[in-house]
Amino acid sequence: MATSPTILYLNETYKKKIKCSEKGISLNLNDGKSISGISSIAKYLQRTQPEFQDLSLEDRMVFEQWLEYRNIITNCSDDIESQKIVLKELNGYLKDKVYFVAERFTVADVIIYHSLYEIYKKVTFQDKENYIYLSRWFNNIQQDKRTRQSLPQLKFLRTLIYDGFNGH
Amino acid sequence: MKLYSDKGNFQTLKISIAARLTGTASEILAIEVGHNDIVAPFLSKSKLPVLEVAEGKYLFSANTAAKYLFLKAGQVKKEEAEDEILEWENNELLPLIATYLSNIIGQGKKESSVSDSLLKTLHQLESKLTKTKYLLDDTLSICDVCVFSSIFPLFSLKNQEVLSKLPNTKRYCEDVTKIQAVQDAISELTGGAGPEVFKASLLSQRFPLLPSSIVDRQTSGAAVANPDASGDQIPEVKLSQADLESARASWGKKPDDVEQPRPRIHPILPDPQRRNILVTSALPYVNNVPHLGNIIGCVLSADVFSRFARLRNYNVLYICGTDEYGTATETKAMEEGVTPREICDKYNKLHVQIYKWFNIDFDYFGRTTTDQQTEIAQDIFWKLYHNGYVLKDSVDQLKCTKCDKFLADRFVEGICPLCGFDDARGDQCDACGKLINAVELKSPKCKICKSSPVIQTSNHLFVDLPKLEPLLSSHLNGAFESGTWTNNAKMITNSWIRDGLKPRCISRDLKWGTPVPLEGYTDKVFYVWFDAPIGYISITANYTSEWKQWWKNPQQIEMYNFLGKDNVPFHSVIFPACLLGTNDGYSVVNHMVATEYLNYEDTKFSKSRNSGVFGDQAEVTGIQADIYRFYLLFVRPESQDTAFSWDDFLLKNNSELLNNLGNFINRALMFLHNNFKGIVQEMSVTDEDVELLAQITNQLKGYISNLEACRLRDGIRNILTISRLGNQYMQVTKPWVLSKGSPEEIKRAGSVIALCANVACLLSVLLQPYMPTTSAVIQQQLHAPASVNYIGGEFVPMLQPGHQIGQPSPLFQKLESATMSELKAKFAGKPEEKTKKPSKKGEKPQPSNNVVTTEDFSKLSISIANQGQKVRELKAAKADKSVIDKEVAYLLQLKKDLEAAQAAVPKKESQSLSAEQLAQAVSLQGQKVRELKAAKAEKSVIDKEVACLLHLKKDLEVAESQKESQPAVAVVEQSACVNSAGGDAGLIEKLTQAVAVQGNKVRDLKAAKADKSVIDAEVASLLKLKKDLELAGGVTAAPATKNSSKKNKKK
Repeated sequence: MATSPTILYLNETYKKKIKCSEKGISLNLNDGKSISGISSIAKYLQRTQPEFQDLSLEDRMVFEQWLEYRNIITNCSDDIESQKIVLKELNGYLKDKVYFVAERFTVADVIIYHSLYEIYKKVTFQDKENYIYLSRWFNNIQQDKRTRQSLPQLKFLRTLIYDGFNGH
Repeated sequence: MKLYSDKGNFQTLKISIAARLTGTASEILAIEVGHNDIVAPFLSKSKLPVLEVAEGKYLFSANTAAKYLFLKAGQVKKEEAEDEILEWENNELLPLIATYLSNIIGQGKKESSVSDSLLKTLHQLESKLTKTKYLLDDTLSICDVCVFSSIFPLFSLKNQEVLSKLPNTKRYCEDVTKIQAVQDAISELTGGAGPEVFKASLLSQRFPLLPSSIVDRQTSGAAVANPDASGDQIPEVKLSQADLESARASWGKKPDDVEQPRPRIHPILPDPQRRNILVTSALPYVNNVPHLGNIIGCVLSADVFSRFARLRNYNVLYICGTDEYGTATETKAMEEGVTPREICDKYNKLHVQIYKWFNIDFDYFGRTTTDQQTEIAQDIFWKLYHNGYVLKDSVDQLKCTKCDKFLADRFVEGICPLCGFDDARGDQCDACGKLINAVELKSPKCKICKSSPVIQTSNHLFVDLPKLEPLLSSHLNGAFESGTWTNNAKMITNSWIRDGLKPRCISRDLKWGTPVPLEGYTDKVFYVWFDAPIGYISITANYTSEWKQWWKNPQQIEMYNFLGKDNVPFHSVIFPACLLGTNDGYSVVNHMVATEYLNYEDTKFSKSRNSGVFGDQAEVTGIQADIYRFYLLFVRPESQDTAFSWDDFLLKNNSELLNNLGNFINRALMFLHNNFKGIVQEMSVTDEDVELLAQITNQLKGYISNLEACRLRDGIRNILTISRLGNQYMQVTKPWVLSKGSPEEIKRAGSVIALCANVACLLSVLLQPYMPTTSAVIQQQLHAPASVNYIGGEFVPMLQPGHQIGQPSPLFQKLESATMSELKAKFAGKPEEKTKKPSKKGEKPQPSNNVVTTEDFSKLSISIANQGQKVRELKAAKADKSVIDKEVAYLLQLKKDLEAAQAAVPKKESQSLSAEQLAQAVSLQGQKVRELKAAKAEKSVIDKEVACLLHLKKDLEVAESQKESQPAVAVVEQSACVNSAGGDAGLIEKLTQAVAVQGNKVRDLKAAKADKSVIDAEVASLLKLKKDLELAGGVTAAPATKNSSKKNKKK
């Protein structure tokens, strides 16, 4: 499940205890309430952690919407056409960005990495070159051991071998 | 801030209501854009609304945008709770409701019912609203704004059936609508109009998908089961009272009440009273023997559709033929020492035979090499010319003086001008991969005679596609909207137009082709891709002199093109543009059905490698054409590539045809024959029977809807479901028990079996487009009158009481797995020599003297490590060049040996050898080190061995941790111990590493300004590795130019 590395990551990083049951994923708050759903939990953590206090409201919203995007990624795992659209969008977005939000590493990067992993695992080398910005980001993100959890690293080539081989 | 939205987009409500409620509306500039416009540079189209909150910062999630406005105004109170509801709205409510709205408002399917999952979700909403006025408490929050906006169109449909089940929701919507800000936002969006204002936006937007486990496909009525399910389950369909009543009513009709099938009288011409359909299948290239992939892509798909259309009493003309002009035929004729015409005659016959065997029912199958082709092609050319759509330009081409031919790109070889690679081909250099023009090659040689060609300027004609673009776009926009276009066809067409059309050359310096009539160009012929689609017209002209009634009659006829996706641009852009440019009233394509690729087992169809079944070989296998037809249609590559698999073939034949369809029909007919002397008995339907009839009618409607939209695979499922329903019915009613009972019970048995016989009759008709021979056999066994061959939307009993059937017998035979293994071996072909692919199924395992032991492996890898070290030392010590070269060559040889040794290892073993082999190597190396130390050997020698040992240990660690998920990857350079050569994944891993490492090496050498020959040697080795990697990684083929003989070409 793409969420379990996410849960492990969140637990480790924020020293929390996120629970996973058949009803769903939930985190208990100090005041007795609980939040359920990975996106909501991630949003909450980002809101309340000190290192994100200086994010502008606009950046916070960009962060939240990329968390939502995670669903689009996980739901297109059977549909090749949707996958292509998703990969193209992500690639286009990352053209001029090192990380997803505010030029810094955030939980959004982690969550998208986890949800994208199964799909990107199956992408051919040629496509990894087509989505070159996405591959650059992916390779960057997966270097961090904690982010990666137990997922094996995917292979990327530094030397472009398909340059000029693109059809059409 | 800027808010981009298209007209009538219901998601925009979220933002506009939020803006009004928070008083931020004045800060937002609302910009209306087209439905398919792209707003942010990285977004794909159809993702609106988008709120640009700052320069270059786009919020494309409506929920997030609305929340942003609320946060700005400080109106978010319980953020966690609100987030949860927003998440629920985005993940569960929106996908379901968007699907429903797209069906009912977007596509106008009025009978579309609210799916169960949507109802369930709406009930969740309902229960949230029982205690509080709004979702969280009694004050309006951001989640109300978003949830309300999404359900607003549903609410405005005023569907009482739904709303009556959701009283709280109804009250909730009414309450929210009372708020002034909400009213203002709604009236701004809709302008007071009704729900149809959402239509255009709904159709164009892309909504979040559901995980496929909850997806309902809303075809009219029938819920189609998951296409990949083994199909044992019958889809649960809830029938309404109306469905039952209408099924009963239909059952009461008589055969005379049903429309009679229309006879087919040649020549078939458009009939103003009927729907006229012109069906074309892409013209197969005469020179190539078609394989199963070609056949399913074009002629078979078009055949199923044409047969179906005829059964609907549409007026259908199905045209096809062989495409005969072009370089390939000319070349082949030269090789065989005959004229091109003779080649074409020979191969055309072959095609005709093959399609005849497959039972393809063309109305006319012709060829492109006729007088009509010359006449019509030249006429079209003249009209384009006089309308100003033809450009003249000169092109530099290589001409081989010896062969006296202008050389096509693929017939030229030479040295790449960019990287110096000496085996570059005319259009592309294999080494550096850059696209080049043949004239740029250094020392070019003619591939055929090896002499040097000269550069000659040749004048050519071009069709001005950019000038034709407006005409084309306006036609396509209409066609996309109203016609049936497969997704890939639309996307490919759009991307061609979006990338910008360029003038295309339509002439060639060849002899075998349609001559160009223009003064100054009369020694040239038309480029085959200009003239081939015109073949459709000329073949029709050969069929009837009244061809213009089809081809110059766009108002009365509809044209369906069936083809493989690599032919889309020619059929959807170039050909229509040319026809429109003549301004001569030509009929242009309305519907386009393009398939993806059919692969063969785990590779591709390839004539040169003898892999895959080719048209003429199918007959020899002893399996009936109908069975091939069935299977190919079952795995028809509609939205993605699929594969032909013998195992699957066996499974589908035995489970679906034999056990399901054949079984039902045979047992029903045998029972009728044995117990009632084959005479259909009186039928009195019970309520239980009516349920069955309604279910069957449901499937029938689904079948019709699927085939009308060319969803051929789904149609098969409807047939198989009806048959399953029949089987189930017999199991439940147990007529064999009834027939031994009281007179009452015997009567009941008669009624049941009579019903089954009619189901069998219906099945035979629905089956006809797919398996015509079998259909005819069933109808013969039934003695069914020819009048049953009509498909209306009702299930009427065509076999009335008193009808006498004929002699039933089994329809299908079981296929044995032994037969399959034989066939697999026969068609497996030989693997390519370059790549070290694992042996295909059915191939014999390698002879045993190639089995490499663990020791050999570790010995080799250790030698490589040592040799590598040696070479490095020599280079660092700036030893004599010849010495270095010798050692480098030896190193390369060792590496090659290792690769070869790994390739010989059979697939299964090598996977598990990796970690164990490494362990072995580690212990051996450890032993060696111990011995050296005990013998007090020289320090440098010991250090070298220790280094190697450490590397081996590291690889072992890696291999063990990755054992679960991936094949072990060893660093090739250092210790090159083991890789699982088994499986392409392992090979790719290994080669990838090798390329990376070698690339680094080359970079280092160049940076260190090492000796040129040394660098060259390493570069050569790098290039070879890259080539191997490409081949292993399966580079996708370049788009089809007809003249290049790529293997799995579809036309």
